[in-house]
Order: sequence, then structure tokens, then C-alpha cells
Amino acid sequence: MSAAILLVEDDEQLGTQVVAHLLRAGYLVDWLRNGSLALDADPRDFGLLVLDLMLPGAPGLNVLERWRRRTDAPVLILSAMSSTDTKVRALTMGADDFLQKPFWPEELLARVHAVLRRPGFSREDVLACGPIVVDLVGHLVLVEGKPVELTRVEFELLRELARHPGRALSRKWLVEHVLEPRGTGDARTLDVHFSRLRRKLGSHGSLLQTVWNVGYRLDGEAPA
Amino acid sequence: MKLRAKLSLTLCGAAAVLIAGVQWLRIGLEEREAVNGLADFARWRMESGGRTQCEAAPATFRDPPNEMLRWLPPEGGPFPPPPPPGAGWLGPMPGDGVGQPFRGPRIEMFAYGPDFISANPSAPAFPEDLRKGLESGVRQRGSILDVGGRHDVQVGVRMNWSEGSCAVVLAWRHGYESATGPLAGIAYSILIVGGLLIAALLVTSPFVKRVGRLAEAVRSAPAGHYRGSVAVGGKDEIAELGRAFEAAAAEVRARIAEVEQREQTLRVFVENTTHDVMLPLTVLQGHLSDLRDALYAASEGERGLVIGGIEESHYLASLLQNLGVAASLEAGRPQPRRDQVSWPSLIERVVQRHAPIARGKGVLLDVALPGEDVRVLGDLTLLEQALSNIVHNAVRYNEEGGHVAVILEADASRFLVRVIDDGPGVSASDMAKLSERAYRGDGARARYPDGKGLGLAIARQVADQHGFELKLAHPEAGGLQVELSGPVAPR
Repeated sequence: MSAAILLVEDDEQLGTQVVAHLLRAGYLVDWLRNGSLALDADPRDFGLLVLDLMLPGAPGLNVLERWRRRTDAPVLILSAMSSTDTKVRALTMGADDFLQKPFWPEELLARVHAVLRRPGFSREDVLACGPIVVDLVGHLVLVEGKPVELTRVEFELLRELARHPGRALSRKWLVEHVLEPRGTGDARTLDVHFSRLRRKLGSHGSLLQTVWNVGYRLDGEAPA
Repeated sequence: MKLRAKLSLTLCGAAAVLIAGVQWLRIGLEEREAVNGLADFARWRMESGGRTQCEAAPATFRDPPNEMLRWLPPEGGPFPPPPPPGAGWLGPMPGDGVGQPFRGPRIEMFAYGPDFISANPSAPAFPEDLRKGLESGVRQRGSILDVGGRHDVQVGVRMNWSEGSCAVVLAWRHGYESATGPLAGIAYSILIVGGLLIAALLVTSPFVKRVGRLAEAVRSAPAGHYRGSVAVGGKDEIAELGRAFEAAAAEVRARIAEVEQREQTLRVFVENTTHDVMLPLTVLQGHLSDLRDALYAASEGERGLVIGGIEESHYLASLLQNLGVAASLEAGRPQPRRDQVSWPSLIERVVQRHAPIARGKGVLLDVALPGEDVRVLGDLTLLEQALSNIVHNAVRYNEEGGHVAVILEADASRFLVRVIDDGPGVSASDMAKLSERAYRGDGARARYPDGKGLGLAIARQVADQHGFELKLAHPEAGGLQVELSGPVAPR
């Protein structure tokens, strides 16, 4: 999948900022300044489309409609406190997500990452999270390429966390979806499982984070 | 009571009173006639031979004479004992042949002197009430007697001569019957009242139906924003009422249109202004972010300045967004939109929006979402702003090293979003204020002097409007826990 991003934004300053931040984050960016140019652009050249709805030349929703007929690439809408009608219409017309102005550059990057990692996620046979790789077919966990021996419960706990790197899963959810179906304990034993799991992951055990008041999270890289 | 029943009852009540009156009048007239007839009969009898008979033998006079009595049928009731034989017969009784059993009304007469004392010892004492009447100067006075269930007519008559032992006559008619019996009278009355009732129901039915139609039209008018017609055909008062309401509805329509127009103008203005402000605010946030990164190596004081600027800019944006949401909430649309909204993506957006601020403040902002999607029915913008306000408060009033966690849980029927922080929490009085619905009349300043409550008040309004539940609690560990729960969207 190409990581090239097409940005359609008419405001000069905002466009400049967005392009700069996307470039700094390592994406290739093309920037169009009005709607009629966007209508003519070939969306198939891009892995992600970022579209402002209020555009000179052609309405953003028309651009979205034209693009959707030609590509499945994710579309991220930039909206300025637009009404719910507009957002819902954009979403039903095939937009993947929207970002409400004013937004922070970090927020934009987070949305871009989220939208880009979304498709095909659950169908993968292998979940990679930094140095930790979970092989769903072989029921194997590799840390820096070396297999680690885990109990069944430990494997399933790690697998669920690796499905959503960087996102915490609540203790309740983990107990209900992993421990209870196997009949292997309750909320109290959850911490025991995780401390064993952390030990087995060795020097990368710190990637397995206890999240305050929530549960656990697997990070792709060590915290700064 | 319904109009029809009321009308019928009133009509029947009036009819019953009327019938009773007529009945009373009729009975009175009949009685008077019976009395007059009997008096006339007594005078005729006395003038055609009775006076001679009486004055000749006042001690035995009575009419009919005693020898007639054996032809009379036996009967109960008081009857004077038969006088000694020798009394003469005045002549044939009307409608009755001599020697034949007596069939007509049985009438007896006794004669009295001017002092109301009879020379005949077998005559009854002159009735007191009749005597008083005659003494007051009238020529005759009668009354109806109830003798063991039988009605008798008694009349005292003063003769044209005022002297002698036969100056006053008491005539007594046994067994007087009214032309229509009392039972027949009641039956007639019931028949008449029943007929009236049916007539009343029939006559009022179309009126009641029209009034009902009018009421229905008026009742449904507000729901249709007074656009429907309520006119009821005809030229009577009901139609007039309909026209009056139509006129009032037209007035209301005009007012509604005016208010809607004004509201629309205002909303468009707010939307446009908000839009215009959001763009430079986004650019400003970009600059601030760059500035912070550029100052990463600078001293803590300088970085603190930029982070303060970032926080304020974020707060400003949130206030502006609340302004827009408050405008649409105050517009008072009773039903929010009911779109399918994905809680996980919404929560992710909200958390990512506040992540830069939390990082700047040194507050750990974490989120836990279930593995599967959770959808609810609602207004995307309102729900997002409600949650954004809750998370923003939790981050903004927290301190360095603090935590904020957003947790979504759901089962097949309900969702629960919890926002937990370990910040200073809110005071008991603020808690009480935040737990009840905000009053429109109070100014936002007066309601929430520190500005903390405005966001939560909007969250509460949004929750109320969606039929969701918003609960505030102080967890044991300190801080504040806000819980938003409600039904998930049907699959």
C-alpha cells in the first residue's frame, strides 16, 4: 500500500502546516487547493485522501462521491464545526473518519495512522508489535525472532493486546473474554498472568504496560 | 360529564319538572271541577223539592232517604247509621232507575242550620275546615278526603236562603276517581321522559360530533405546527368557534414562522462565525505546536509558557464548540438525530484530540475499548462534544503526574462509558448542582463561577436529550468518575 497522501485544502496557511507535519512524519504528500482540481485528480495514486469539505470550485461531498467510485483508499474529512448532517452524509457516502477543526497536528497524525492501519487488520495471520511478533496460525510468539514459551492463557492475553497495539484493554474485558471462557481464574489472577508474561518477554517486558485504572496495553516501542 | 349526557339530563330534568307541574295542575282542576259539580248538584236537589222535604222533617232529613240505602251496594268506610223509617224520597237520582240497583256515584246529603248544627241526629258533624271556609263568606267550600285509600269529595254549600234548619248542606260523594288514574299518570310521564331522552340524543348527536371534530382538530394543531385546517362547516356557533380558532392558528403560524426565521438567521450566523474562527484557531494551534517542539531544548520556564498557550487555545476551541452545541440544544429540538454512532471511533477521536494537552500537562490519558464495535443511536456532534467536555474537564483540572482513563464497556443491550480521573474532584455543592438539570434562566457565570460546570452541564443536557444516564461519583481513590450509560443500537 502506498503511503502517499492527497490533501485538498483551500487555506494556504493551514495547508502549508498540514503538509509540513505529514512530510515530517514520513509521508509523501500532494496538495490541491480547490475542489475542481480535486475532481479531476486520480485518487488511485494515493493510499489516503484528506479532504476539506468547504472548497472553492466544487463541494467536498461531490469530490468524495467521485473518488469513492474510483478507489477504496481511506478518506479523512476535515470539517469545521459542520453540522451533524454533513458529517453523517460524509460517513454514509464512504468517508472513513473526520477530524473537527480546530485540531492539533498530533491529532491529525494520530487519525492518519489510525485510518491507515485499519483495513485488513483482523485478517492478518501475524501480528507484529515492535520486537514482538504473534503468529496466529502457529500459536507462536517471537521476541526479536526467538520463540518464547507461553501458556495458553498467556498467549491469548498477548494476542488480544497485540491486535490493538497502543490501545489498552480493560481488566473486565480481558477477564470476560480470555480468563473466564477458559475457566482459569478471575480478576485477581489476571495480574499474576501478566507478571509472568512480562518476565517471559525478558528485556521487552516493559512494552507490556499496566494502565492506571484501566487494564493492560502493549506498546510497539519502549516509552520515551 | 360529556356534553351529550349533560344536554339529555338537563332536558329530562326540565321535562320531569314540567310534567309534574302539569300533573299537579290537572289534578287541581279535576278536583275543583268535582267540588263545583257536587255543589251544583246539591243546590239543584235542594231547590227542586229538597228544601220542602227538609223543612217539613228536619230531624230525619237526608238524601238519599234511608229506604234507598238497602239498594246501595255494601261498602266499607264510615257511614252514618240509618235514620228511623218515614223519610221521603226526593225523586229519581240522575242516571238511575227506581227499584234498580244503584250504579252511579254514591252521593249523600245532610242539612244543617246557619249555626252548622243539624236537626238530624244521625248527620255527621259539619267538617271544621269547610265551616271556616263558609264562615269567611264564600258560597261553597269543598275538599278531597282520603277514606281508607278511597278518595271522597265533600262540599259544604250555603243555600240561597239563610234561615231555617236547612240553610247549609253538606254533600258527600263516595269514591271519587280522577279521570286518569295515578298509575296511568306515572306511565305517561315515563313515556314522555323516555321519548324526550331519545329525541335529545338524536338531536344532539350531530352537534356533539361536530364539537368532537373541532376538539380533535384543535388538539392535533400544535403537533402539526398549526398548519392543518380546523374549520367546521355550517353557520352556527360551533362553526364560528372553528373559525375563531382558525384565525388564532394563523396568528400562531405567523409567529412561529417569524421566530423560526430569526432562529435560522442566528444559527447560520453562529455556524459561519464558528467556522471562520476555527480555521485561524487551527493554524494557531499548528504554530503553537511547532513552537513547543522548537523550544523542546529550551528552559522549562519558556516551555511552560508555550504549554500554557496551548492549553488556553484548546480551552478556547472547546468553548467555541460548546457555544455551537448550546445554540442547537437551546433551539429546543425535542428529538435528537438518531444516527448509528460508533462509540469506539468517537472515543478514539476525543482521546486523540486531548492527547496533546494531556501530554503537555504531564497527565497520562488512557483509553480502553472492547475488541468489538459498539453502536448507539444519537447525534454524532452532540455526543462527541458531551464526551469531549467530560474528558477535557478531567485533563484540564488534573495535575502533573495525574491520570485520566476513558473506558468503554458494553453488553448486548447497554453501553457504559466511564471517565475516571485522580484530580481534585468537585466540591459537594458543585456535585449537587451538576447532578440536576441546568436552569435556562440562570446565567452561565452565575451557575458555574469557575467555568468548570459549563461543559458538564452541556454533557448532562445531551445525555438527557438522548435518554442516556449521566452519573457523577467520587471514587475511593479520589478524583472524579463520570459515567455515561444507555442502550446500544438494535442490530
